[in-house]
Formats: sequence, C-alpha cells, structure tokens
Amino acid sequence: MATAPTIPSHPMDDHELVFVRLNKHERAQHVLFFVSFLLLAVTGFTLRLPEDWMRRLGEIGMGYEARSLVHRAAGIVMILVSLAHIYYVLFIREGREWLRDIFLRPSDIGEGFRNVQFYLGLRRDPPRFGRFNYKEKMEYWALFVGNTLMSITGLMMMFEYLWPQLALDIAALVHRMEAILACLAIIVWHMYEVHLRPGRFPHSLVWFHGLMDEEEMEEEHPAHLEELKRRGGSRVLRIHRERPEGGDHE
Amino acid sequence: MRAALAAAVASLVAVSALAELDDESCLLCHQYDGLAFSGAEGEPIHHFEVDPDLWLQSVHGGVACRDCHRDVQELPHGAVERVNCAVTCHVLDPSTNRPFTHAPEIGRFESSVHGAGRADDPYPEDRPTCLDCHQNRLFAAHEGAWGATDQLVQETLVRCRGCHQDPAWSEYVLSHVMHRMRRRRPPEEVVQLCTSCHEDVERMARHGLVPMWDFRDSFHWRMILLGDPDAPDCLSCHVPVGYSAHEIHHRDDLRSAINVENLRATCSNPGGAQRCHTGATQAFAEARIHFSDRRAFEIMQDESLDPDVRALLAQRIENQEAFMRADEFRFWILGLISLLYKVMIGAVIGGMMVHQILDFIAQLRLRRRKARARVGVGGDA
Repeated sequence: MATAPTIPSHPMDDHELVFVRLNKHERAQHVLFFVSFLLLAVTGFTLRLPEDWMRRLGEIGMGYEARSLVHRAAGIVMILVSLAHIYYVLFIREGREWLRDIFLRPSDIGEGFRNVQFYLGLRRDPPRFGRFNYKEKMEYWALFVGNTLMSITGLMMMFEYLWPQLALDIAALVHRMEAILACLAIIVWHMYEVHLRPGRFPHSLVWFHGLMDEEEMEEEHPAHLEELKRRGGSRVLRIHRERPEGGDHE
Repeated sequence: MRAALAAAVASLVAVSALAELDDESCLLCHQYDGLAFSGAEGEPIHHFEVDPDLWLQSVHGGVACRDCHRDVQELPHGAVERVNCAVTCHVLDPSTNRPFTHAPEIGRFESSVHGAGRADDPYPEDRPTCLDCHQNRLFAAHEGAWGATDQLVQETLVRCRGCHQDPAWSEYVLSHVMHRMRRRRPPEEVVQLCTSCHEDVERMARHGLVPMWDFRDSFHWRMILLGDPDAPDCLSCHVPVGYSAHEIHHRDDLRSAINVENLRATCSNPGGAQRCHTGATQAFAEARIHFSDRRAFEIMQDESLDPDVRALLAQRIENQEAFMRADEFRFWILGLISLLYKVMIGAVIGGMMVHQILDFIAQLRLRRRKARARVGVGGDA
C-alpha cells in the first residue's frame, strides 16, 4: 500500500488510520472488468455505426477480423472475471463479508428516501451510510443481472448454429438493448460518481490504490467507519504519518 | 494520319500475343478512343474502342475478335449483330479439344428460375441475360489469391515457360486459373448486382415476387461493410460450393440450395474452403432469412401501387398463411421486448439523471457549508 493519500493528522499522534475500500483481489477484478467492458462497448457498437463508417473501417483493415476477435476475447475475459468474483464472494472470507454487506436490505429503501429528502433540502444532513449505500448496491445488482443477460445472450450468439431463429433473434435484441442500457447507466451513474461529482473531479483513484482516508470515510460511509474503528480487521490499516522534512524537530 | 497508323502498327507488333490474336488488324481502327456510334436522337451512344492492354488482361483476352463477332465478313464492315454467347467459337476447349461454346451454360440458365418461362412472360425484358452479370471482367490480381505473392507467381511463370514457348499464353492461362481461385466479385458488388433487380418493388411485383428488403439489417451485411473478404453475400447461400449461379431454382425445388432438405448443408458449407456455420442444426438452418411475406403484406396495402400488382401479392400471401402467422408472432414478440427495453431505458436513465443532478446540487451545498464551518473554526482558534 505504497500510495496512501496524504492524511491531515493530529500533531500529537504520528499514526493514522487508512481504510481498505478495495483489496487487491477486488481491484484486479475491477480493472479486468472495466477494460473488457470498454473493449466490448467499442467493438460491439461498431456494428451500429452508419454504413459509410463501417465501410471505412473495413477499408483500413480495422473491420471484421479484429473487431469480432477482440469482442469475443473481451467477452470471455468478462465472463471469467465474473465467475472469479462469484467464487470470491462465496468462498473467500473477505469476499463473503463483501456479499453480506452488499445484500439488499429493507433499510436501504429508507436510506434512499432520506437521502432524496436531503437532496431536496428537507433534511440538513444525508443519512449515515454503511459500507455500501443504496446507490452502490443498486449499481452492483443491476450489473449482476445485466452481466448475466449479456453473457448468456453473447454465448448464444457465439454458438449461433445451435439455436432456432426466434431464440437467436431475441438473444441479439436483448444483447443490443441491454448494451445500450448498460453503457448509459455506467455513464450517468458510475462515471458521475467517480469522475464528475464535486470533490471527485477529475477522477477518484480508489480503483487504483484501494484506500480511503478517515475524512472521506466520514463523509461517505460514516456508519461503516464507526464499525471499523470498533472492531478493526483486515480493512483497517495503521500507517506511520510522514512528517515534512525537518518539520516539528527544528 | 499515315504516321499515326505507322506508330499504331509498330506498337502492335511489339505485343506479339496481340498480333497473333489480332491477325485481322481490327485494332487498326478499334484502338482509337472516341470510335463510337450514335443512333437516332436520344438513343444511347455505343462505344467501340478497345484498349489492347486491358483486353489482354480480361477473361476473354485470349479470344480473337472474330471468334465472337462472327458476322464480320469483310472490311470495312457495316452494322454488326450483338454477340450471341451460345455460338460455337473458334477457340478449342483445351480439356476436350473441341470447339468451345457457352451454349450448355445458357441452356441450364434458361431452365433456371431466371430463365424458365421467358417466352410466355409479358415482361421478358425484366429477366437477366448473360451480359447483365458478365462483363468480360479483368483478371483479378495475382497477389493475394490463397496467399500468393508476386514473387511466387513469377516463379510459377518461369516454370510454365520451361515447356510452353509463348510467354503471353502462359501468363494468360495462369491468370485464368488464379482468377478462379477466389470469388470473382467482392461481396458488396454481388449484393449490388442482385439487388439492382431484386430491390426494385415494381419490377419484382410484376412477376409476383416480393423485393428483397431486409438483408441490409442483417449481421451478414455488416460483415460485408466491415470488409471481411469472405463475408456472406447473396451467392454464399443461394449458390454455395457445388451449385451454379446459372441454375438457381425456387426454394420448393430440390435442386435449390435453400430447399429445406439442403439448408443444413448450405449453412455449414461442407464443400467449401470457408467454414460458415459448422455443425448447423436443422432448427438453426430453417431460419427464414428474408421475411418476404411480411413485406408482401406491406406492399399489398400500399395504395400507390398498381391494383393488379397488389392482387398478385395478395395471392401469394393466401398461399402461405402459415408462414405469415409465424412472421406475425416473431415480430410481435420482438416488438414487445424492444418496447419494454425502450420504456425501461427511458425510465431508468431518466431517473438516474434526475438523481445525479440533485446530488450535484446537494454536494455543492454541503461543501459550501463545510468550507464555511472550517473558516469559522479557524477564526475561533
């Protein structure tokens, strides 16, 4: 964890708490997933370009072979990452905790409702969110459903010769519509959250170093912060605070 | 003029192959650009110039003029008949040593779906003839055919010339063989050729046919646009390896590649070097690629069309009610899924956008408040 963010600290204490938002398994899963997602989106929507653009791509040799090969390869990577994630949340301790924390609960509805009240100025403060707020849970489970549909319909089209026409037509239609939905949702929901949101612009680096400092935890996941402080565990790191050269000892 | 003729003769002598083919000196006149004939006012101009270099590189480059233009008996000649491809020309078929003719192909074509019944057809001019598809094409480039490089072709030619004395003849024969080692037209050109008739609503309707209308929505068409040289065009399914473009038959005919009995083989293309849908199941192969009956239904209701034409199509639909019902169900279910998705995308993405705009405003408010609080704390300290 070499790239911990700088943490403002109490002058009397040379140790700070840092929280592992994403461990290295989770970061690896995320990187493989978003790289394959981007490749799939680009090579997939190539098929919906205007005819002249497709023809031009063909002329410069970027058309059929490369496109279909990259799309299939990226699709297989995404399916494998998804399977690895399912294994992770079922059989690895930290993964099981992840699954437990991200499960939808009735209380999420109340939190969402109170958060919208806060947005509308009917409440002074947002609810004190736990490890995953309703926005993150919705995104996670929408991705789970969407990814399952995309994988099934994608595999059907990869082994197209087995299926009757209606099944293939439905698979192609669902694959296309779900892709539009997924890309728009990622842009509006996820890209806003990690890039455009005030305080995050131009981007959050949590996907890279996986860490969150106490201030950000207090802002985003205060209930979770309390719990972690109480019980500790592998998601809490105590790191030595770096003092500026010749600072206090001068 | 004399000097020009002398120069022309000199350049012709240089090309020995051409001299041999043109031993009657047709090119003395026909090499000139602008040699043309204009009929009555408004009629098209006929061009008669022949570029000797291009001619030698064409599939008929080994054939002398009078082998096909047989009614030219004296010089200068008068009006010449259109070439009849069914004549027996003076070229010997090297496989039989007999005079060569296209007559057997023409016979087969005339019994195919494109030719049969031509005599009784009220619109015979709608039907294709040889020249609608064949235009004495140039030989395809040597390079690229099955990975052949120019060096490999030159090597091969050296070997040919070891026995065959006339270098131009060797090159012609090798060009001919290499030309046939791949599809002669790029897929998009094939689609253009077939659809130049088959997308014409009136022309098709005159014969009780439904124009092709949905190929350009297909994945096959997108493969063509994206430049896959092996992308499936019309001929890939209607004339796969083992079938002849001269013998296309109605799908109810057992000789048709798209007859239900032959579909599995057509989709998996076992006789071809290119593998398409290897292992195709019968259920997959029986997919209906062109939804002609649905289109027929639309055309039938188009009141701008001739009532007789619409009556012809109505008859077609009555004959195929079961197909029509299958289409109806397919389009109903696909339309429903599409509608559900559109509503869902609109609602979900719209809701998300509202949520995020509210979040954006709230975050700005929250940050302002915190900044004020920090300044306040700083002031107190």
